[in-house]
Amino acid sequence: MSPVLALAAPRRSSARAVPLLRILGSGIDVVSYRTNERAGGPVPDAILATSVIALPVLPPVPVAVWVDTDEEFDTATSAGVAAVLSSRPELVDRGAIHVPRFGIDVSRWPPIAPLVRSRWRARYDLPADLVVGVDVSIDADRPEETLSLAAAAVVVGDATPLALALGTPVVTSEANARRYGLRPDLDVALAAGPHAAQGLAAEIARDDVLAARLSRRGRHAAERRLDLGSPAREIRRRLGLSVAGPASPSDLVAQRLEELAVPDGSPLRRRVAAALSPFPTPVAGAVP
Amino acid sequence: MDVLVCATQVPFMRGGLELMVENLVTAFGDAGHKAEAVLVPAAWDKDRLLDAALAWRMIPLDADLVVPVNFPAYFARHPRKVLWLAHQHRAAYDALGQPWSDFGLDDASLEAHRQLVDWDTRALAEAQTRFTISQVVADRLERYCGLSASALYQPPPLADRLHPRPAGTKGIHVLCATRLEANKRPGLFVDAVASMRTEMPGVLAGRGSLDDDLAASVERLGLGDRLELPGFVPDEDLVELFRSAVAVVYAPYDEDYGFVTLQAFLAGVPVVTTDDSGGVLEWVEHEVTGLVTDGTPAAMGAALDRLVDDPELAARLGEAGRRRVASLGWDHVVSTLLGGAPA
Repeated sequence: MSPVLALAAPRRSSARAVPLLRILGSGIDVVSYRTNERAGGPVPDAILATSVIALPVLPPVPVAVWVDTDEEFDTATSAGVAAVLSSRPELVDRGAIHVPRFGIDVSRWPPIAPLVRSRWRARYDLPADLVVGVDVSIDADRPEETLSLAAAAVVVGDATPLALALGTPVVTSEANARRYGLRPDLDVALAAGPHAAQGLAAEIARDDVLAARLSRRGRHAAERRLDLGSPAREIRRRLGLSVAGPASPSDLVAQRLEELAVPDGSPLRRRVAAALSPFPTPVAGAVP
Repeated sequence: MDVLVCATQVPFMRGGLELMVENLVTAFGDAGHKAEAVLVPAAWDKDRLLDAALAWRMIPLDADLVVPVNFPAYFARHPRKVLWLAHQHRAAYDALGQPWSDFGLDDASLEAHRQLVDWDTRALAEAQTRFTISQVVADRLERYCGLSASALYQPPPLADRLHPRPAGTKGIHVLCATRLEANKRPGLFVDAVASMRTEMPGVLAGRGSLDDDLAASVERLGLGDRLELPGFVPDEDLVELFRSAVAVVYAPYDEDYGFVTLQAFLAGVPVVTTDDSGGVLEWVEHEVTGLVTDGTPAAMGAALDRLVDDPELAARLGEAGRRRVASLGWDHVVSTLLGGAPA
């Protein structure tokens, strides 16, 4: 049976939890705390609260709660919550788990460097300097495919984290860069207006060095500032929603694979699993 | 300081990389440090390419400084990792499309390629400071992985034994000393000698997988009396071959660095090369330290004839080459690498 995570969201505060819950909810039954309580449902295994206002009424199970101020941080820690969540750097410095306001599970989207993109374009007989424009508010049809092939892309809006995670060299507007906390001319290239953006993207598509630099730094920015996957894994651990086995050599290898962002199910993971299969992980209690 | 030089072991093979590692370890020792090489074998087919990379991630390296020099040794984990890169896995980068690259456009190749470039970029970005053996290698790193690096040049093997022959004495042959492998293109030398107008003898020294093919070419071109294939040549004989050469031909495809160029220059001999020979062109400047050709047999043969016909030109170019490499030294390499790892 899957563990149950209840969402305790005072009025008009549930929206902030939606991106995180999309990732956190995998393999977990997510219920509304209020609905579950009214229905007389069982006490959940853990609770995700969107505000400290909810804390006084919650049962004694592990709780993760969002905070936006120092005062809320103090309230949460005094209440002994398992995890304090925030998008504010000063609260992250105090120990809150960084949960970006906008983001994706970066580990789901392996980066494709410009050199490899050029090989994919060669395979499909696409132009070597293919430049695309992606705005998912207009065109929501599988942007990942377009963004994986492009030599450079003009991107605005919700597709930005995906484009960066995929290692696409991105040209965007100043406002869009600011929205996602991206550094101009490092994580993304900036252009004012569609015509200039298209021209700049075409220039990047012809410049191997600039494209490689933007690709690498864009991916790095996605991992550092737009990743919801890492905080989700940490929150699950703190809430007791994932079971950690005893440390073993294979755990260390798994850790190394995580460091290097190897996708689940990749041929490499299968090779590692095969290589380590003669060395079973000790089961707790089996070793005196 | 305890220093570990990390490199890939290629069983049954000994070439420039192995010499570089040995010389670097010796140089650290000469500078008063404790140094050893750590060598781990690797496989080069794309299906097993990252096995050794993963192994390097797990190897405990207890030392003050770690200096990896090639793929996949730079996957070594250490808080003071200073890269001195000889090359990445070239079949996946600059040698894509070459006959020896097994990276195609099929699904398996493209995913292996994607994973390799991603891993390389992460492992190389970990280094406190990045140096490469040449500007060509630094340029590749920037172009393919978006990472900057500085070129740090080394003296070639036998540097202390290679000196110009006495002034006024003439060269007696044209020389190509290299591993006889496809990427070194020794066949260009054979074809160049065949197209020479003058009858200057040639020596093609070295061995490799092309031994038989080259011997057959020499026979087919009727060069049996003029072009010698001595195979492996001991160091003392090699020094003499350089010293007594009118010119050295060195024309590999997009070479990383190329010790042969520097060895020729130390012997005061000009180098004839091609315009696609990569790192060789960092040293061979046309009509200054050698002659750069388009790689056709006719052009290379003509360049050799010109140096045979004009010993003064050959001497002038060779002397300019000698001056260009005279300041290279291992003490500079060691102090630069140590400077790249502030405590």
